[in-house]
Order: sequence, then structure tokens, then C-alpha cells
Amino acid sequence: MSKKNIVLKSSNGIIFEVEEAVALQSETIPYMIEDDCANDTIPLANVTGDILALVIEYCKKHVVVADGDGGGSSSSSQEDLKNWDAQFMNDLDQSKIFNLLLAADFLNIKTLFDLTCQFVADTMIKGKSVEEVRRTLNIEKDYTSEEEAKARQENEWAFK
Amino acid sequence: MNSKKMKPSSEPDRISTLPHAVLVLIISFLPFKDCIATSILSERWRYLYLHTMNVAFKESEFLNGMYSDRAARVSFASYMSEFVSRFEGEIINTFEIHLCNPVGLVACIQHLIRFAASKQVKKLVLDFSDPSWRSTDVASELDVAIKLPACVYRLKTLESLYIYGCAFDPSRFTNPERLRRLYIGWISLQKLESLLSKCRLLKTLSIRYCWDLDIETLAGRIEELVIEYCDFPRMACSFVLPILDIFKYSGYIMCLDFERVNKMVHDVEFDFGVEPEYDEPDAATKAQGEIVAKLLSDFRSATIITVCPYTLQVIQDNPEFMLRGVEVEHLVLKTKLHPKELMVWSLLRDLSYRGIDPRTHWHQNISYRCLNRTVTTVQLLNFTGGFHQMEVLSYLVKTRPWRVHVITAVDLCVAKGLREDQMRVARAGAAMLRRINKQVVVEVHNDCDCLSVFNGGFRPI
Repeated sequence: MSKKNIVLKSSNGIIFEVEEAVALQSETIPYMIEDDCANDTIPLANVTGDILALVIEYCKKHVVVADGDGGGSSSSSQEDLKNWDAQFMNDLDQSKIFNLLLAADFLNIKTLFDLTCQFVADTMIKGKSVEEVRRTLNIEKDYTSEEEAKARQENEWAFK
Repeated sequence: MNSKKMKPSSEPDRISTLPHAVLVLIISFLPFKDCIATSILSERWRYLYLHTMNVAFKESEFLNGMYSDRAARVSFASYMSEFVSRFEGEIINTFEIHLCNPVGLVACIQHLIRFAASKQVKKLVLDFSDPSWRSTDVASELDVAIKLPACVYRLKTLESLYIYGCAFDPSRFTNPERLRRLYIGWISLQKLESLLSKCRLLKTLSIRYCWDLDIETLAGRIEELVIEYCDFPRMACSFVLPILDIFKYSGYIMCLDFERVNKMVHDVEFDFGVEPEYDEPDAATKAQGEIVAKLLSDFRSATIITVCPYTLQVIQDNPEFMLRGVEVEHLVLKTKLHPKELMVWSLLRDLSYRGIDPRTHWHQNISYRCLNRTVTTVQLLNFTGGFHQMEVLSYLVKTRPWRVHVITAVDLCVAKGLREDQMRVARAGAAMLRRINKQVVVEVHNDCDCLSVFNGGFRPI
């Protein structure tokens, strides 16, 4: 079977043409292909062009390894991929990270979704004090001090 | 992490607008303590933690280093019970309890384990071992308080099981098809074969401080096997492990039959440090030496072999078992530089051993192939500048007419806790080595905690 390309269109009208194997890492896209006509452009109403470009960059990087799964020599490439993932995430700002996370959720790309969730947990929450987390993520404290004290008391050990 | 993200962004609060399921996933990636702490971020986050898919109750964290008295343990137990009674999630991926020897809390713990099983747990960690249980003799005299509830034997979802200080019957597992990692410790362990035969996916098996082990043949598609300080009453065990990659054994010397094991393993480690030291070899130590020499011969094609001082000592009483054609890439010898271990040098060449006098040995006209060809760096841990160490080091750095000198660097890691006058001795020792051969870079390091034998990059004094 010859290589087939799939055309994706972002919410702001930018067109991306990618190999089928790259696009099919998304578990959502196959359903869209079935629903629409296979040769048509697939519109992605929830994903903007800049984020879709990131998603495709990620999927292109990961497509080869998914093919050659189970090989004994894949361990070094697994290691390389891990480093690549870390670098990929590190280059993004917070707003892009959340958009990417939502795109991965919508497109149902499990490894990218897990990667972004893990990155948010590790770099924005883990090991930080409550005040630091609020500042990093702009979370507004919307309880009274009495309510907060009560919540602290419930799980006192976690704040020692 | 770049600095721009550390600054408070001018963005609105994006994270709190994420769907519930996404937030649950994010907090599930956090260490349990950090996950719980999100409960006071804001109203939105107040009860999210009761959905986390990873629960880890650790006595040490809960008590935060305080003395674990009866009252504190009871309060920990009631916290755990309270938590699970309020829990709102559908499934739990990881459920951990670390509570040492929970005598008197049996009902509570069993309730927690049944709760985890009801949530289709994939990784279950039950650690009731006590840090003071340093040998099977101690542990076997204590009554293991907790018995594994029946529902766990029927679980189909289990992928990893850690079971320390919790009595169970391996033959009762009915559905362990998905089990990949199994860690067993601090119990009387019988009928293990009946469990292993049902676990076709098992990759990692670790058995620590178990006694009454009646296993005759350990077989399966296991890639990593760790046996530490176990009592095998038969003093023998054979292995049928065609894809074994890592094997670590600590404990007494016994008959370990590796005939049907993958010989091209990556990493093998033997530690017989529990054997009593001896002065003169006797029939028993000779027999031990034969066993150990056979073991090392079996694994001559491993990538890394690590052996203990006792191995070095016991093997030299068996010159007929001299190792030949060792193909290992990394031979890690944990030596105390005791004269009796000097056999280590004979391991590296084909030469029969005739005994060594540590005072004169290093002054003879001897050389070894590895010194002429491959050894370029010498690293010595626990350097003190003592007599034996200096004799060996001087030998290694000295240029000799009968040998090509390829050693270019000597890294000395100073033993911990030396007094200032002892440090002076060590520094003087290093200075002496520099005088002996100016071409060799001799460095002295003191912070060697993170040093592994293969990594450099430590800080000179």
C-alpha cells in the first residue's frame, strides 16, 4: 500500500499535510476520517495552527519508534526520545503548554497527554509551597482564612 | 527549566479551568504529599485530591521523623481509614502502605488492602517490614501480623506487587496474568514455584530476607532477578532463565545452578559478605571456593561483574579453578586491599597463583597484560594513604623498563571522617605518587558520595 497523506486544518485555517502514520497517533482522527470523506481536509476546530504545528512535530518524532516497537536495540532510541521530549516541553511557555495539553486531550494522543500532564505536575506544583503554586499558576485564593485553616487541619501532615 | 516560566505569568488562571478528569490526572502525577497539599489552593481544588489515582501512605512522612509511638501509629491508622472512607475516585493505579510491623492495627490494614483491591489497583505496595530486621533470624522470630486478604489473590489487574512483612500463600493467586514485577520480603516463603508458573509476563523478581525457601527450580521469562539474604534450607537452587539480563545475589554461598540461564547477561553481582572471615583455608572454604569459581566462570561473558571481598578471598584457594578467558567489559572488585584478596590481579591474567607476600610482592618484576594495554585510570575509594594502599599505588604509577606505561590518571577518594592529621597523611601519599611519576595526574577528592566506579566528574580538594 502506498503512503497516504492526510490533510489537517487548524481552527485559524492553516493547512498541514502529514503522513497517515503520523496523524494516526491521534485516536480521534480515525473517527473523523470515517465520518467525513477520507480525501477531504479534516477540520480541527479546537486546535490553533501554532499548537497543531507542535502536535505534528511531536507525532513525527514519535512515529518511527512506534513502528519499530519490540526491537532489542530500541532502548537507546527510547532514551533519546525521552531527552527530546524533555527539551520539547522545556522550550514552551505556560500558555502553550496548556493549549498543547488540551489539544492532546482532544486529539486523544495518550503519550503526549501524559507527557504534558506530567510536565505540569513536575514543574509547576511538585515540591513547591502552596503560595508558590498559587503564584506560578495564578490561582486565586478564594477561601477565608478560617476555611483554609480547616482544610489544612484535615491533612495536617502534608503541610509539615 | 528556563526562567521565564518561573516568573508569575500575566496569564489568567488556566489550570483551574481544565476539565475535572485532566486535573485529576495532573495531581495523580504528583508525589502523594504534594497531591494532598493541593487541597488548599482554592475552592476548585478543595476535594480534588480525593480522586487521585496514586495513594501512598508512608508512616515516615506522616510522622515526619517523630518517634513512632503507639498513639502516633493509631492516629496514622485512623487517618488512612478516614481517607479511604471519603475517597471519591473510581480506580486507583498505585496504592502503597508503609508502616513498620503494624501489630494491633491488623483490622485497619486489612480493610485498606481490601479497599485497594476494590479499586482495581495495578501496583500494590505493602511494606510492613521493620528497618531493624537486618537478618532472617531476627525477622523469623517475630510474628508477621498481617495476612494478605483473600480478595487480592483474585485480582486480575495487578501489574506490580511489593509484599514485605505480610504473610501470603503464593499458590493461592488465581489470576496473576498481568503481573510484571514482584518484590517479596521478610516472610517465610514456600510454594513460590506455583505462583511463578502462572505469571507469564513476570520480568522482575526480587526476594529479600525470606526464609524457608523451598524452591528447587526458578524458571520463567524473568529479566531481572535479585536475591538478598534469603535462607534456602536445601542450600541449593537451580535456574532456568533464558532471557535473564540482571542477576544480583547477596547471602551465603550455596549451590546456584546456572546451566540453563542466559550467559550473556548484562549485570551480575555477588556479595557473600555475610560469610564469616577465616584465617586458614579448610575443606569447607575450599568447597566454597569451587562453587564461587564456577559461578564466575558461568558468567564470564557478562558485561559487568561485581564481586565482594569474600569472593576474592575464597576463590584463591582453588588454583585449579583459575578463571580463563574472562570476557567481561567491567569487572568491579570491591576490595579491602587485604593481602588475602590480592588474587584479584590473577583474575586479570592467565597465571596460576602461588601466594603473595604483601610486603614484597609489589617490588617484584611483574606485569600484567591489562596494565600494558588497557588500564588508563585508577580510582581508589576510601583512600587513607596507608601502607598497603601506597604499595599498590606506587607499583601502578611507577614506570618500569619491562612494561609499557599506559596509566595516565589516578583518582583518590579520601575515606570519610578522617581527622586533620590523617588527611595530612593522605595528602602526603598523593604528593609521593606525583613525585614517583610526574606524567600521571594524581587527584585527591573528598566528596565521593555520588561517585560510581564508572563516572568521573567529582570535585578536587
